[in-house]
Amino acid sequence: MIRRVLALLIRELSAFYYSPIAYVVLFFFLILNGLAFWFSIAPLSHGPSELTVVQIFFNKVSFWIAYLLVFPVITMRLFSEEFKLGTIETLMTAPVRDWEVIGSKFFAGLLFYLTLWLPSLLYFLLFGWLINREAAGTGAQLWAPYLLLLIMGMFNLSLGCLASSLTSNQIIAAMMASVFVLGIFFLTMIGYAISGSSPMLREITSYVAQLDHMDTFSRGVIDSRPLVFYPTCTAFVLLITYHVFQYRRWKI
Amino acid sequence: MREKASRQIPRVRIALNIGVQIALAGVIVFLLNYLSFERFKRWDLSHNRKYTLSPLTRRVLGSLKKELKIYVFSSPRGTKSPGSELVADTEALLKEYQYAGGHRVRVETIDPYLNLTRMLELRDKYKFGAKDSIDNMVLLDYDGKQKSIPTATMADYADAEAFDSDQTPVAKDFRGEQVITSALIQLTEEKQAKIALITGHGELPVTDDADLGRFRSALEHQNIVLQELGLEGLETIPTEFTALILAGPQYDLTEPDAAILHRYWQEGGRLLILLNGRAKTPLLDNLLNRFGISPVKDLIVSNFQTQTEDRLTLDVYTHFLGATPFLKPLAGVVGFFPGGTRSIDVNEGALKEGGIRATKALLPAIDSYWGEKDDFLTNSADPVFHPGVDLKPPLTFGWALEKGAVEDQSIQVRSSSRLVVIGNADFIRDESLSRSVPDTNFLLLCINWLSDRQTLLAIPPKETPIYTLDLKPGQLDQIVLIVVAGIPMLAAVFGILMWTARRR
Repeated sequence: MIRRVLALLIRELSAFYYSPIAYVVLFFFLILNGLAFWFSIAPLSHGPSELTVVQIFFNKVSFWIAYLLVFPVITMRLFSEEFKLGTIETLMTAPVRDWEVIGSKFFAGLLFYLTLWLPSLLYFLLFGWLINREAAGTGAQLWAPYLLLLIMGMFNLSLGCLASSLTSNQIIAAMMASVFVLGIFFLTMIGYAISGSSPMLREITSYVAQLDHMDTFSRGVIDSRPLVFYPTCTAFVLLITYHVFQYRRWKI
Repeated sequence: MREKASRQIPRVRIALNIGVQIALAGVIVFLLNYLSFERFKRWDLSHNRKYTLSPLTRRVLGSLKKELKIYVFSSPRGTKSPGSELVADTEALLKEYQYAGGHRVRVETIDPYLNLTRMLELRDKYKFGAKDSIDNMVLLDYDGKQKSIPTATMADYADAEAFDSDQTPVAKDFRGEQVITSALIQLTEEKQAKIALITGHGELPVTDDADLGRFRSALEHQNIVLQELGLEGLETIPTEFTALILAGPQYDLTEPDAAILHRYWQEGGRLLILLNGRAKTPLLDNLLNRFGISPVKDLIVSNFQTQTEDRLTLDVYTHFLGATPFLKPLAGVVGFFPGGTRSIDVNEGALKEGGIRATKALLPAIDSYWGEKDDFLTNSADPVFHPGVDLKPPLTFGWALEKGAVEDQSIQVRSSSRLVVIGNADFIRDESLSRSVPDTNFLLLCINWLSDRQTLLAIPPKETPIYTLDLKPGQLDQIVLIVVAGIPMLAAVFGILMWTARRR
């Protein structure tokens, strides 16, 4: 079973990394992220701040733009392309289970997503090396946002997978993924947007608010709630993706 | 027809099966998240555990019987309103209050510029002032009682003058927790504790804000009110006072004053005596001798080297000693006692005879201090250490005494007499307290111990690390070039290599 999953994963990763498109995406994403980093350190040169570079970087609008843009781009082709080109039939005649296909595509997307974010670690190391000053107050203030980035990314990628499994058109898949990802992102801000909203609504929105989670983790505070919320929701969305995928197979 | 029906049945079954599977999975996900919502944990791995609430705050929040509403009025950073630089820290802190208080604590943040309707609604409800006054303010509402706290009062600033200039003021220490919890104690406690500052002997005046403003304000934050009390004509100390403070008398006590203080001590009184290092007070010294304390007729001095010469200093840097149980939170921390300090000894025999337990509280931080017995302030001679005459280190100048204590800490009976004697009084002046933050905490710990509020340990302020970029010319350009062009170019090179490899 592991061999099959590995073979599928390598197939998916090859589709990512042997394609120049991946590097084009990586190139532009890194430019965007580099600019976000520049915007984070520029205010520090104007005056003192109580926030670390890591805190500023992960809580800036420029970071969130890059973060939210990336999911439709990564996931749009995962299933849609297979349906469109008909390669899904070849795949389904192979001795692999449906969940192995879903899992390998999801993890391939996740690895590419990590590839996009890992270079940003270099920014902080480079900052420390050039300026001779830590970019974060403690080690945890550096790794905690990346841990959150991983689990939030898992959830949003699962939404992208679901969107891609629903259609054979990549543009529609990208659009749907954007609506899912952005919709959930903005919905979580509703408790703050409504003046005098009920405490319960605020607590619930705070429970699922990605902005809040990032603010907490970038301060070096690890909260158990996002660690439960994102993985469970990822598993749930992947389960729905699995059933959608099976349904589409019956139709073939 | 029959064949068609038989083909449809499995589809319906499958659809139902899938529906049930998804619903069940949804229920499991919901239950797991409900559990996680109700029973969560937070690990503070930040610098100095900046976001961890003190046990006192947790206890106060845990004891709330009604809902506590906290409204945070915060204008965006950069608006130049006092306190705007503390908005992030205040909001983060109150988030911790909300998590620690569970459903009993409700926090709402209002930007008075963006959410004018809500601000006006709350202004009508709580009747606070014009819009300008609520920029950066925290309002607590508990059981119909309210307290407002300007955000700017939650920090010690590195440069207070920055408020009057165009610079952004830089917070040195954030003491939001201290201020908010104290306000909360005021709202939840039934009555304020009163402490008397004895007058009539040239003591530091409580009415003079320039001298004791910080001390008085720190006490008020602990729900303690400071009142002056003249001993003349009194038979006994009024019972409304939980403790007495004798702060640096310039003149000696009278016989009746000493008698009333002795009687007060014998009857379970609580005293904080701060000796004036420059005054001669033989009757006060005699009174202390009767408690088992022997103030030495000296001044603690030390020589320190400047670039050109050796200079004498009367300023004493000291270690707070954790051997005194209520000082444990400050164990090893350095305090500052300027102006003139007398060393204090104890008479072991008198202590034993009186059943008094004494613990050392303050010790100079370095060994170069000695107890100079020459009256060098009067005769203007440079003091020199004379072996056998002057006192050599270690010199103790702070003691905590307790008589008739109940050993079992769980029994809360106010039966013991307590006394804290310190050989310095100048350290409670504003000038000194603003220079050494731990001294305020030391005072609060002493007062809380004397007032039987040892559970109310003072909450130390959290150091606020300040980040600035001290860049050399061209360094920022160098970083920007690497992150915006260099690293993306690396990705492009990889892409080109991959593309070339595939073409081959």
